[in-house]
Amino acid sequence: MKAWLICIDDTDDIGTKGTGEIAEEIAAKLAPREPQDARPAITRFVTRHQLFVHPDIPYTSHNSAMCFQVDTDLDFAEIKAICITHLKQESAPASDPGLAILDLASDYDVERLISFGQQAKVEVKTKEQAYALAAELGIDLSEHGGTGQGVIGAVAGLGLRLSGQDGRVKGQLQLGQQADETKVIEVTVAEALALTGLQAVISIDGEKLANDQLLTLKGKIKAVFTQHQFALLVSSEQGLWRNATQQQLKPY
Amino acid sequence: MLQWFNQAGHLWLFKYGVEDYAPAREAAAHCDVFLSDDEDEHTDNVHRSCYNCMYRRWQPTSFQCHKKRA
Repeated sequence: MKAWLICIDDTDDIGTKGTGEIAEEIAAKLAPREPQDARPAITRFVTRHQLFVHPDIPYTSHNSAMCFQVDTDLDFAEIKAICITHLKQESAPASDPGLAILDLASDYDVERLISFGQQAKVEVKTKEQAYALAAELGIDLSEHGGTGQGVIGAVAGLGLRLSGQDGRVKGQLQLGQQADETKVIEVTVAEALALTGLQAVISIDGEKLANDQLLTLKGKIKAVFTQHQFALLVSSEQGLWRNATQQQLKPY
Repeated sequence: MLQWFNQAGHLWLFKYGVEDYAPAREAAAHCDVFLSDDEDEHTDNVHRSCYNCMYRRWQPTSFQCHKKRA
């Protein structure tokens, strides 16, 4: 079984299915969950990577790319065919989808890829730059409609995911609060990790919490990708460790 | 609308930047086409906020409102 990192960008428009949802659907098609699995492999979490917001960049509303890993016996041609079929089926007519596929076992310059991703958060990159880097690093990069501008974010998203220091995990974590978002849940770090499959609980200051520390959670509970771990982000408030607010999650 | 936005051509630019939550919530409360974006794109804990609306397009220092597309 081989591991692949896949990133898509620029598939949506106002009022259409989001890029994150399309990414989750592709991940499910590439690596269907076995019935006995309690939850999908943690590496399959889709991460959202914020890119540069600038008037010269023709994004729809927020300019973010969506990245996920799949471990599969499918070969490259099969993987790409599934991705393309789904992108063509689900992308908005006015969108400019890009698709990047990286064989994680290949010999590629990870630092250059990370650097491109980090640059794409602070400066305008071009399609030519994205294609040139992809060719040099052996990344399969393709466009599937419109201007194909999404290839830039697709390559950048790979780099940002590989940096281990970027991205919010798509979706919310369920710790028993789903029926009532006003309900307060108290669990230890160890319990939260066991319930969610996450790898760590980390504060907004970067402190990794010990397994026996108590968390006071309420409302939307979301994870981030930081310190190369899928982590529940928390902040200290009046002596209690609370799940991060949307505002605190924004920089990720 | 003019209470919270400046007209910029055929679009509206939010007056209060990217982190002034109270006016973003007020404006959304008075808007008849507010449409929640994907939850993963929300940046305000209060659901009905222009910061969470599908019709906002982020700019470096604020956002444009595309409600005329509604």
